[in-house]
Amino acid sequence: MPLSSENTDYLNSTANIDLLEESSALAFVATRDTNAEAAWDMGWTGRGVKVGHLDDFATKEIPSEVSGRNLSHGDATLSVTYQVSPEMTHATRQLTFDCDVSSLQQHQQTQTGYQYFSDNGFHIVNNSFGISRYYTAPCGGTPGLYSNTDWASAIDSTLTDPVFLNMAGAINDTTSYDENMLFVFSAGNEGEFCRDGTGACNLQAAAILKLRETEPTAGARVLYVGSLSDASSVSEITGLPKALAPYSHTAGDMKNDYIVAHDDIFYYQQGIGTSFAAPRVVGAAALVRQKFPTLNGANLKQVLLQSADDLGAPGVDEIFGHGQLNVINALSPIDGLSE
Amino acid sequence: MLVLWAPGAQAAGLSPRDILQRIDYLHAEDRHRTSYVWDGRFRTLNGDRYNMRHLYQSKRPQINAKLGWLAHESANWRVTVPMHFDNGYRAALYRARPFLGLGLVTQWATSQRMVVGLHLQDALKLGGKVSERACYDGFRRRFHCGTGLPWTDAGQYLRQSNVSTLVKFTLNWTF
Repeated sequence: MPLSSENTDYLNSTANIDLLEESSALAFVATRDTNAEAAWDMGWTGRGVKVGHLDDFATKEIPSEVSGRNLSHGDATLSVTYQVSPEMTHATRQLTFDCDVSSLQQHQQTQTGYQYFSDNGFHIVNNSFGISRYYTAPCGGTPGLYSNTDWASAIDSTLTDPVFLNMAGAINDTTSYDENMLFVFSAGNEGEFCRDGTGACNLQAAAILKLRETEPTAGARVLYVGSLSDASSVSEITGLPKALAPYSHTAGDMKNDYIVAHDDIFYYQQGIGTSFAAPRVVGAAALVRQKFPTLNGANLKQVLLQSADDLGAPGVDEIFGHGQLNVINALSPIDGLSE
Repeated sequence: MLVLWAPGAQAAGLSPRDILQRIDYLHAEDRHRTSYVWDGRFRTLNGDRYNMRHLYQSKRPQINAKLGWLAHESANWRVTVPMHFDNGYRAALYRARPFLGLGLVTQWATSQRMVVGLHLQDALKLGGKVSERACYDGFRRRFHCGTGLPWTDAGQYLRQSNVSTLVKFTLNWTF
């Protein structure tokens, strides 16, 4: 299916589009595990919905057995969204994941990206990045831990950051990004070190929880996505209970903002993190948004949450949150119909 | 219908008996006929079944009547005005305006054994316009409760008046 692109600013953008198009003949794993094809048959393909990806499109480090060339992290997340929502209009903004790039530069890239998406009427933004309390030392070394003081300081610092506040602050704040925008975040991959939940382990989620103490609507347009284990894919056949991937942060205190999805990129057992679960939800959100264009970001988030398949303990729980993404439920009526 | 036309008829000097004699035919029923109303039962993409019949039940009496008014009759010439009235339909999600259709039927006996006829039914159509409204789910998302589709997809399925003008030429032989 055709992919509309505008204002791509990453290196080799043409190669990226080529990658998607040459891969489009394949039966994508994300298309299958989200059951998106049933929606496509109804003409729901994300057409006209503007999806932004803020990601690293420059560093080509993920081997692709599809095209025989390496993908960037951004290529891969965009590819997953495309597998669910192939006719979206997309744009990308560069966020460099590199030890040579300062956190200030990354912050500026984030600000520039969000502002671009907001100024240009984008509806959904994929954010497959974050800062974990149990960081994995990207420039080498062993995994470490913020001290309690450092962690509290990082949260306080986040709460004074205009970019964060514009994105996650109260929805009626006049400085916030467009109310129609939905920000989808990967929950984080340090679950093997921290099973206490996304809000305890993910800096932005922790900041949202703290902000809610004074602003109850904080984070209303922010959605966190955890990963189902590959064994869960098998369990759909075997009937075994579904499980969260061992690396995925659990829902924890963010259970009301949390949903889970598979995270393979092109084929089964290729899953390597919540980075690739989030774009499934972004793709699903685009399908919903196409057919229900009056939904604002907060309501679009709620539609995805309320239509998820319940997993684990009945109802919303600390492991799976609202449960597994269900595209078809999200496109069907929720809570009955009335005049 | 009879009451409606009586003053004009009386002005033309017709007695009630004359009026009755002028009615070539009269069919009436308690059903709306000028559009096809949804029954409100459908299945959504995820397999859930819905029965929203109550939103398509008319709050207005359903009447459909067809009357042939004999305007002229002579030894070999007969002119009838077919009239078609429908009281319309008014439900929560579906509305059809009342409809009046008029036509003209002329029949000419060219001989004792052959009659030639030209029929124009519902040639002049007044009213009958159909309009539909969406229903809403818990998130105020608009759906079409006739099909279960999102309202944005329902456009091609929205009902219109099903009354079309009938033009018919007849040739009757008597053996």
